[in-house]
Amino acid sequence: MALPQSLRTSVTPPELELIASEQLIDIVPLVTMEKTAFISGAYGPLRPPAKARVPLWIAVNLKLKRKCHIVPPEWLSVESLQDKLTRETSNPGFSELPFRFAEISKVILDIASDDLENPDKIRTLLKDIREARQSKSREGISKLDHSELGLSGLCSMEINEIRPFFIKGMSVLTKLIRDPEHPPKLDET
Amino acid sequence: MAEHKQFCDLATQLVTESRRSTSSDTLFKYNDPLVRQIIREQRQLEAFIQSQVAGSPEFTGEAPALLIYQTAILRNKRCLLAYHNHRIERLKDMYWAVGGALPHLLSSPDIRSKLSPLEVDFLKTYNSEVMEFRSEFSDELDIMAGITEPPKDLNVLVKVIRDCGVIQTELGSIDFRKGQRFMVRRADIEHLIIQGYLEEVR
Amino acid sequence: MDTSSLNQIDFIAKARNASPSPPPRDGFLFTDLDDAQELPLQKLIRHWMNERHAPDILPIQAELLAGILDHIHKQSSTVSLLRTDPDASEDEHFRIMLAQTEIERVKFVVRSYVRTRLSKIEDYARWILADPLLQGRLSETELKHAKSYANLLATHFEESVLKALPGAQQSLDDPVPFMPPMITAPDKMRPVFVLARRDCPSVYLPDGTKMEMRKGQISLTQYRVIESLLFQDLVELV
Repeated sequence: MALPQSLRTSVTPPELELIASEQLIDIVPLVTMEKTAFISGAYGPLRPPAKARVPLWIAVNLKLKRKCHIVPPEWLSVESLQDKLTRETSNPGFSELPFRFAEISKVILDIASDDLENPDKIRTLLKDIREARQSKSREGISKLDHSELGLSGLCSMEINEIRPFFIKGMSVLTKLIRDPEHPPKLDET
Repeated sequence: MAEHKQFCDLATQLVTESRRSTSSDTLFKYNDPLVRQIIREQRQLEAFIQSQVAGSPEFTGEAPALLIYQTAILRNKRCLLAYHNHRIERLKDMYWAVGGALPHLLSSPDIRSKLSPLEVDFLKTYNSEVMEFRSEFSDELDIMAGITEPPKDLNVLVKVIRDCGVIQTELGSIDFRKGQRFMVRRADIEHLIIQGYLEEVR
Repeated sequence: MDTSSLNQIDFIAKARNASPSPPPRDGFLFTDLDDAQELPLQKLIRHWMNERHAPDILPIQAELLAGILDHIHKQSSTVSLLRTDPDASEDEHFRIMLAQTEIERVKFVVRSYVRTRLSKIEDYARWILADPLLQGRLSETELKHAKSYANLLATHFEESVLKALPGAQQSLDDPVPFMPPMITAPDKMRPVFVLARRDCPSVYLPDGTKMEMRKGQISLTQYRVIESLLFQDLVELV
C-alpha cells in the first residue's frame, strides 16, 4: 500500500510535531535577516535584539545553530503550569491548555531548555498534568457507546494516544448494534 | 485417515497461511500446490452439483446437499481470492518500502523465488502505473520518497553500507564507497537509505 | 555587512509578494479556526489530516494543491538561483537554508497527502468505478490510476484463480447473503475524532438523538454523522 503500515491506523507523534511547528512563537534573534517570504508566510525582519515572531520550526533551526533565544509561551512557566495542575486535580473537566501544548512543550524542552526558567520543574509539572488528564480520559471509556462521546478539552497528542483503543471500542459496539439486513439510517437534518 | 476430512479444509489452511504471514511479517513462498488442490476441489464440487441436478430433476430431498456444495464452493473461492489479495497487498508494501525500486526488489533471489510468475507480472504493470502517476508531480517533488519520518535537518550524516557509485548531490558528485561517511543533503540520498545502500548515523 | 547583496536576495520576498503577513496564531485554546486567516499551507495540513482520519475518500483539494506545488516550484528555483551567487554572505546562506528546510517540510506534507489518497484509491478502486459521485472527488490522474489499478487487480485474480474455476464460479462479485461484499467500500460507520471549527447545525446521532456542535467542541462519533459538516469545512478531523 502507498501508505506504510505504521501510518494506517493513526498519526505519529513526529507528524504532530511537524504540524505544531507551524505555530508562531516569539524569539530574540542573534542574527540579522531581512523580511523573507516563505511558503507558509512572510517572516522577519530579524534585528537583534528586537523580539520577532516566527514559526516554531524556524525558531528551532535558529536555536540549534545558537542564533536565537526562544521566548517561551506564557503558559509554559512554572507558575502557569502549577495553576493548571491545581485545576486539573480539583475539577472533573479538562483544564484549558493550547490544543498542541504537548508537542510544543516537548520541542522547546528538547532544544531550548536553557531559555526556560526551571526546566526540570516544568518537566515534572507537565508529567503530573499529563497523568491527571490521562486518568480522566480513561474514565471516558466507561461512557463509550456506539453513538457519541464528548471529549472537549482533550489535546491533540492525547487524542492520538487514545485513538486506537477508543475507535476499536466504539467499532465493536457499533457492530453489536448493527442489523445487517437494515443498516440504520440517519435522519436528514 | 483421509487426506482431508471435509470440504474447505484446504482453503482454511491457505488463509491460515496468510494470517501467519501477517503475524510473522514474512512473505512466504507462493503455495502453488495448495492453490491447485483447492481448484481441483472446486471442480469436484461443481461435478457433484451437476450430478445431483441431473439425477433428480425435482430436487426432492436433495436440496440440502446442493446447499452444502454451493456453500463450500463460495467459501473456497473466497479463500482463494483472499489469499491472492493478501499477497498482493504484501507485495505492494514491499514495493513502497523500497521507494518503488522494482529492479532492486526483483533482483533479490530470495524474494524472486517466493513469487509466482503472475505476481511478477503484476508488480511490473503496477510499477509502470505508479510511475505514470508519479510523473504528474515530477516537476516539484518525488511522491515515492519517504513519508514516515518528517524532515528535521536538511543535512544528514550517512555511513555507506554498500558501494553505490557516483551520485550527483547538491554538494557536487560523490563516490560512495563502503565504510565511508558523508554529510549530505537528505533529499539527495534518501532513496539510497531506503534501498539499504546508506545508513543514517544518529 | 554587504547590504547590496542582501537587497538582491530580497527577491525571495519580492517573488512571493502575494504572501500576506502571518496572522497571530497563538490563540489559547484552538488555533487557525478562521478561514479568512487560514494560509494555504495550514489549509493543506488540515485537509491532509482530514484525509488521514476519514475512512472515505474526500474531495481532492485541486486548486489548493496546485497552488502549493507551484509555490514549491518557484521557491526551489529561487533558492537554486541564490545558491549559485558566489558573493552570498553568511546571513544569506542562512536564509537560503531556512527556505530549503521549509521546502522539504512542505514536500513531506504534499507527499503524505497524495499517498494517503492513493492508498485509499487502490483499496476502493472497484467501488470507485461503480460510483460516479466518488469519481467526481478524484483528480484526473487519480481516476486514471483507479481505473487501471482496478483492471490490473481483476486481471490478476482472473489469471491466477478464476480462469481455472468452472464457468459458473468465475465472477468477481458474488452477492452472498451473510458475507461481506466482494467489492470493498469505505466503512462510513468507523468512528472519528472531530473538532468543530465553528458552531454547527445539528446532526442526528446513531442513537436517534441530536447533536449541535459548538465551536471548539471535540467528539468521537461515526464518520457518517459528521460527513456533511466536514464537506462544508465546519469541522475537522483530529
